[in-house]
Amino acid sequence: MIIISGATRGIGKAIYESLKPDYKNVIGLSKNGDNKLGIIKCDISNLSSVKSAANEIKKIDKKAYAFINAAGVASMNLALATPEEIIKKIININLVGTIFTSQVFSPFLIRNGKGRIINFSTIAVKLGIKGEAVYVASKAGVEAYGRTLAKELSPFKITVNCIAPGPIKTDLIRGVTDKQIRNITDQQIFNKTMTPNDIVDIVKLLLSEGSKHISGQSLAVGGS
Amino acid sequence: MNDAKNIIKDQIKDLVEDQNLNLSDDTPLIGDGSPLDSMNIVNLCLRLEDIAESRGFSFDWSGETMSKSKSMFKSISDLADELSKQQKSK
Repeated sequence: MIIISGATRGIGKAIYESLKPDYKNVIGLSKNGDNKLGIIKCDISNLSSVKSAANEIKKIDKKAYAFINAAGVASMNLALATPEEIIKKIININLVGTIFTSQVFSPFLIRNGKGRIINFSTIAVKLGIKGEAVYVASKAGVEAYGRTLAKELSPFKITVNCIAPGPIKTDLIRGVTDKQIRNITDQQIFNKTMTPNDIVDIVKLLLSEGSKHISGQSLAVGGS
Repeated sequence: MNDAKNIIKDQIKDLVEDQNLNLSDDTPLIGDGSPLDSMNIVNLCLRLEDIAESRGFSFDWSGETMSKSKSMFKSISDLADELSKQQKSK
C-alpha cells in the first residue's frame, strides 16, 4: 500500500494516478476527499484529522510501503510584508503537516518492515528566490526534519527523502509570471520548466529497491 | 493495572529476547537503566496498539514526550497506568 497526501491536485494527483496501476492499494489523502474512490478526507495541518484518516486506512491495511507527502501551499509575498494568516497557513500545512503525517503514518511503514517516506521541498531552498521567504523557510524545515527523521527510521529500513523541484506548471504557481519562472529556471542546471511526469519519475526512482540506501537527501529536480 | 504491567513486561522480554530479564514496576523505559533502545520503544508501542485493538480500544502514543519527568515511558508502572487510563476512556 502507498499513501499520498495532496492527491487531488497538481503533483500529488499526477503521482496518485501514475502509481495506481502498479500497486494493489494506493490511498490518496485530500482536504476535499470524500472517503470514496480511494481518496480519504484529511487536513494534514490538523492532527485529529490525520489520525482520523489513519484509522480509516487501518480498516484497509495496517501496513504500507510508502508515504508520499505531496500536499502543500505556496504564496508569493515580500518577506517583510507577508500577512500573519499567510505565514501561519504556509508553516502549518507545509512544515507542521509534514511532521504530523510523519508521526502518524510512519508506524504503517514500520509494520511493513521497510519503506519510503518522500516529502516535497523546492529548489528555491538552495537558490534563495525573492518573494518566497516564508515558503522557503517552511520547506527548509521539511528538509531538516527529514534528515533527522531519516536517522531515527533507518533501523526500520525506512528511507526519508525530499524531492525539491523547480517550477512545475501546476496550480501551486498560478500567480507566478512566465518571466519569474524563467528567472528561476535560468539558475537551474537544466534551464527548463519540468513537468509533473518528471517528478513522477523521481518518485518511482525513490520507491525502487535500488534506492534503499539513499536517505536524508534532498533531490533538486532540474539541478541547482 | 497489574494486567497492564504484566503485558508490558512480557512484551519487553520478548522484544529483547531474554525471558529471564529482571524487570520491576519501576524499571525505566527511557534513559539509563532502560532495557529498550529507541527502536524497541517504538516496537513496544506498536505491540501495545495491537493488544489494545484486540481488547476493543485504541492505544494512542503519538505526541508522547520523551521528557524523563513527564513521559509515560518513565517506568513500566507509568506506561501501564497510561494504557489502563486509555482503556477506561474507550
